[in-house]
Amino acid sequence: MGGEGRVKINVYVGEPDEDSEPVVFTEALVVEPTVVSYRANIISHDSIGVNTLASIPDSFGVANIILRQAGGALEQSSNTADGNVMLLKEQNANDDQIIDLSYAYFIYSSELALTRAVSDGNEGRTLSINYIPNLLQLSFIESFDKNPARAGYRETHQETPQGEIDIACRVI
Amino acid sequence: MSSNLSGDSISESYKTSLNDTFDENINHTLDFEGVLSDTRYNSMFGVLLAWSKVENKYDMGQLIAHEVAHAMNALHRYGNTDDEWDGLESQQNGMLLGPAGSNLLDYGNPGDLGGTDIDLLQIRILRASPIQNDE
Repeated sequence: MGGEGRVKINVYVGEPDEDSEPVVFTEALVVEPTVVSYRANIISHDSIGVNTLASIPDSFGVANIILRQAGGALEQSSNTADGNVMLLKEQNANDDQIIDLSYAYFIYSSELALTRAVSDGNEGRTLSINYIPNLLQLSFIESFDKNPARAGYRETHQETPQGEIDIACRVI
Repeated sequence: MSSNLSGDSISESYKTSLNDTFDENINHTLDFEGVLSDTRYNSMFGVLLAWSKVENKYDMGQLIAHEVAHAMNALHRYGNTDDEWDGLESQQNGMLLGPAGSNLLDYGNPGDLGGTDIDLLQIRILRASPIQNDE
């Protein structure tokens, strides 16, 4: 077997026979499960203190229940190589600025604007802390200056760099 | 991307959310995000998530799934935002109409997260993302 397929599910009232018409049908996609590896970081600052967000592993469990609908799961990367510390070095980093919590890296930044009220202009700088190329980076900050969350950076879609799908809907 | 989802019979699985009016004989276009990069950082991608306004681990799980979906090229569906949207719900004056519905990509008013549903079209988008199986 293998591959992916579209499945139609007919729902009947009672025991159907050859003349029965479904009262409703629904559809699903059968897909191979896929994994999205990630590296998680918690960006903090002296004025915020040690909030290690201990419930994050549970939250990833919740996220995976949701993403299971798409046949996907988030999985912490096994890649423990040192990430980008360029920004931290600019801040005269010391060895204890990156702490491995096993479920995330806890990182002190001496620049408060990289974790509190993060602005558009600072998103890339914040995300760059401890990043590894081509690995999904999920970095937790205290707050944005505007929205509760914003998406950062994406790779090109497999089929087109930006695109659209046309669908036709008709009441049946 | 060519459509392999078009057809003359579409089930309610293709409803975009509880807010969807399921229009008759209307062709919809689903838009999705393109590449977004910061040229200062080679092959960096991911999202930032703010923890201070998230009340519990369940809401944080929803937020993680929502933002990861953006990182996998999905756009907002419905809700009170002037951000870009995927084009399947009605907007007014450049704003999507709130409050958030049942879809994962709905965007809630402050303190009102979206839902958890992912429809079949969004699944196509997510599964075409290149960020899977990178190890």
